[in-house]
Amino acid sequence: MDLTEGDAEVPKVQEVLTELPSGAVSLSGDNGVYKFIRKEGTSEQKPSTGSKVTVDYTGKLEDGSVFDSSSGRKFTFNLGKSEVIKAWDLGVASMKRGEVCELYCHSKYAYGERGSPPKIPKNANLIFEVELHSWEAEDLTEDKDGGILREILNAGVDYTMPNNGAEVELELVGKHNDNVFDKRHITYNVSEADEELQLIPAIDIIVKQMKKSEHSRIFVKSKYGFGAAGSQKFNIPPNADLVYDIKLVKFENAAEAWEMTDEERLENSSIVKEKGTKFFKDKKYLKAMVQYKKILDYLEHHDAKEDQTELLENWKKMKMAGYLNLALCYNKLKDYAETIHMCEQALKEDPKSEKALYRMGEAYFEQKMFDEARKHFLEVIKINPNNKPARNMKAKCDQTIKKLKDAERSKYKGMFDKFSKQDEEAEIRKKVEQQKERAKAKAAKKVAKTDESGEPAEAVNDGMKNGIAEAQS
Amino acid sequence: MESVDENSGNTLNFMSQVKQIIKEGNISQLKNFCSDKENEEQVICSSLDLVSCFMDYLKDHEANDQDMENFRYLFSHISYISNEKELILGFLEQFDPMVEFDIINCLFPGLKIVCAKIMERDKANQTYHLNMVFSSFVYYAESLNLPKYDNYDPMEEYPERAEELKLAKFMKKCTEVGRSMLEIIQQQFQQKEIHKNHIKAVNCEFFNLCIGLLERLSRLNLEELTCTESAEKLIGKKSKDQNSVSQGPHAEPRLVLKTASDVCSLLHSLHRPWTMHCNMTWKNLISSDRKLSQEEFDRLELARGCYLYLIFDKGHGIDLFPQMDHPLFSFKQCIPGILSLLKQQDSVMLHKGLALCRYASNRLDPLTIHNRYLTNALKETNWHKPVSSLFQSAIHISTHCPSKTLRQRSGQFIVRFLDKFVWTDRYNILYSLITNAQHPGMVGYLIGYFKDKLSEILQQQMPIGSSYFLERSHHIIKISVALKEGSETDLLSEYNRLMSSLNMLRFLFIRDKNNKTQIWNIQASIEEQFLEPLRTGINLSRMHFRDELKKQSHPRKEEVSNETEFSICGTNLSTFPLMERKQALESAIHSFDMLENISIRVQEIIDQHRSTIEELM
Repeated sequence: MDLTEGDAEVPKVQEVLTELPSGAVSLSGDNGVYKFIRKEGTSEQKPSTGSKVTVDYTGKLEDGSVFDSSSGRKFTFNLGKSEVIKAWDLGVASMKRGEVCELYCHSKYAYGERGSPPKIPKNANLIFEVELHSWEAEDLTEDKDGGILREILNAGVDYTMPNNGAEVELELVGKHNDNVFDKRHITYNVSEADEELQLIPAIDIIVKQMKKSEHSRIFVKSKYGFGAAGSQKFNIPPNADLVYDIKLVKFENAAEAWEMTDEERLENSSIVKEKGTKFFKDKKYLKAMVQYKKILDYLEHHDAKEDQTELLENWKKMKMAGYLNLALCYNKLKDYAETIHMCEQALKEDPKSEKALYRMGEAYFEQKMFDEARKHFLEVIKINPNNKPARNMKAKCDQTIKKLKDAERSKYKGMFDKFSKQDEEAEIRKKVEQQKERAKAKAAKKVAKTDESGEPAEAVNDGMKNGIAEAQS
Repeated sequence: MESVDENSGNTLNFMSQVKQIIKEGNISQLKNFCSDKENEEQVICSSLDLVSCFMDYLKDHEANDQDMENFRYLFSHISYISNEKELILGFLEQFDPMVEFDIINCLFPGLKIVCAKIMERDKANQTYHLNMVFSSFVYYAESLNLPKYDNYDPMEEYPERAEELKLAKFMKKCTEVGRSMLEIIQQQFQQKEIHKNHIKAVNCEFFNLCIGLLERLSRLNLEELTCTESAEKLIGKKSKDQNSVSQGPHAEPRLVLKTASDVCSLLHSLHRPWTMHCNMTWKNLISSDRKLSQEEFDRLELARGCYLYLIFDKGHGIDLFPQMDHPLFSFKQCIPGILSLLKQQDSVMLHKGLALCRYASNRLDPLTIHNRYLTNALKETNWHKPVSSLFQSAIHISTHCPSKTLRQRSGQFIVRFLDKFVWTDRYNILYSLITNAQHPGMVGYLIGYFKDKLSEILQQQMPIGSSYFLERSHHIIKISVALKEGSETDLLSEYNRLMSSLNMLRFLFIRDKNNKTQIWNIQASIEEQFLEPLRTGINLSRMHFRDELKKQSHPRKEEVSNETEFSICGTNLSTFPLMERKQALESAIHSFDMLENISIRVQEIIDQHRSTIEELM
């Protein structure tokens, strides 16, 4: 496996795979994977690491028995992401569009000593016939909207990637319509970049998905770039798509909670809280949220004993601040469901928190759940009768509820009148139907009698008509 | 042509005749009457009334098999000839939790026909109809009782429970109806009668049905029944030859397994297993444009966990799974499903989670996982700390689960899983687990693992990458030998941890002569803060227990009333039966002796070392 620490012995694939076709080329330094091209590709382009490639394949054991095949149902995977065995990541990366090749894989580049029961035995060398159909660049956005596409030029090292708050050193070159507008070597903290740096939002998203020494080309849609405003400094027009070449030179991740003592966790929480508040004041709510979330991350659990009352008190206060500030941010971003969730969490810590109840009330109010909102403002007033904003909001709720009720009353009043009219009509119609039935029954009886007595049919019909007329009257 | 009035009159007449026949309880006559060609028009006009009328009869009477069969025929007949758009509503409103499954079961042949007709004739509204049908199915499935698996143990065989059978039958019918509709839609798509986008929306409805069914399946025992003698006894089935030995695995798989297989195959008709085993696919398929609620998310993950268990542990559709997947990638994809199963209370679900865990992690070689890789790779899911969550769940199971088998399996998983991590992560995880695990038995178990790893490192050839582990090992040693309450520590509650710590110390003081672990740097503090208070604690506790043993052996009247004072591991001695009290006290004293023996041995090794150094000086 590629993640093993230390180097294992070099496989001698040629010794094992004796029937390699002439012209097969080695793809790995240790001759663990060979490729033999059956059909040349139709273009010179090759997929880059991270691309979503589509292939057709047939897999065979050395004795020629087929253990798997896509059978014409194209198979798609992300190249170079260790989604498939190492031989495939190497082999497919070397292919051109439309190429058909055979990959001869030493077991070390496949399933190794364990094999993959029941189809692939231990230490089995595998042969795959692969046809590369097409590929798409890797989409780095959360919504997969194609807003940030990455083409890896040089894969990085290690598996660690920068976290929020990590100090990163970048080399970046920004281009718009092939003109370089930005060429810099910068150092900053992820998700905490200063305004002066003029970094587009995409940079934070990209950097968190890069490895050390990785060099990538990024295609950024305006939504993740300078947006509708453009950039005066860089002379970028509104709604411009950009291309960046970014190299992550090095980075140092922000400390994780488990690496700290309780005191350190509290200290760091206080630092990030300050940072968050600064962002909040600048109305950068998303950035503020990143900081406040860190507080909750740091304070998830502690090692303190029950008698360390001061520490526990501070712990609780800080955690409350985290929840309440996050609730405030969500409220500003109009994500009311999350606001309520955060307040609920805060109330678990302190069921009488005025702020939590008030913010929850606000969120309900915005969601037009006025009864719920009123209930929460009332709770606040119960706890602190002098809380003026809560009083105002309660009054606002009362007014709105009254207005709604009035509106409903007038609306339904008309509706009820209509319904009662309809009911009356239906009642009359029902009666008419019943009379009709009765008349029909009478008529039928008469027919029966006429059949016996020989009375003319018109008379029966008349009788029926009379019956219906009677019923209608 | 008949006038409207005449028609309604005929219908009323027809219905009153039907009611009369039903009142007489003559269902065969009812069948003949309704299927009479002459009454066809009346049947069509009153199809909805007929369905509810028949259902009312079935609800009020215990129909025999023949009558049931007749009703099934009648529902099918009505479905063939009536308007499907109206009739489907009549059928679906019967999927009421108050209606018994046997009665609902009667509706399926008719419903299948109606659904097929509606798919063929109302292409524009297929998604709407599917949503209506499938939500009724899932709603009813959720209302059916789940079997209670008290003291479930995966090593034991259980006969199919009535509730299990009922659910399995119902779900099987649902998949049959679903499949028949899917076949029609696929045919229409092949013939280009419907658009690609339409297929996407349709797939989403089928996917929702599968999620609903898989979620139910996750709560059922899906183990195969090998018909051993004990199992036969449980089922109450006797072999023809009473003396014959069991003939290996039972030929007929349980219905619930067949149903599970059907659900998987329905899902695979929509999406390939490779796509389905990826985390994000499920989220995107169920809702690409909105955030899922926690409840929806939990349901989805549980269904996914059950699906992966069926694929990987039970092998349903494994043939369709591509054979070039990277084991680590597959493991990563399994983690959210595993976690959602492991956080449940029910042993049946825990078993599924552990089985999936075993499958996925067994494919990995040791030293192949980086904690950060997994954490980064699973950022998109709701699991922000997948590794620590997985360990915490496993620890919870191995310390709290009522099933011994599951406790053992979970314990084994913890150490095997730890072995999959690189040395740096092994150290960090172990440190965090020993610090946070509340259960002394578990802490002892982890200290034992720590000792084994040090043993590997202290070999002549040190494993590559293990220097990080070795350099920091003294931190773990320190927390392992901490006596938080000094000599007043409850030695019996902490017995496992203390024994493991002492064993580790003995091992290290003997093996690590070159002080690679830095144990000799902290030797003085180990003596002062651990061994000395421990010995004091042992002496005090032993005296205390011996006194009590004397009292129990020769009880005096005035002391009997005072017996509530003494407790062992938090359990009041008076709650023990009289005969067991003495035994418990003796066993406790024996434990103290064991602790003392080994602590003395550790002290001897230290003293020997000290005297050797003094001699050298």
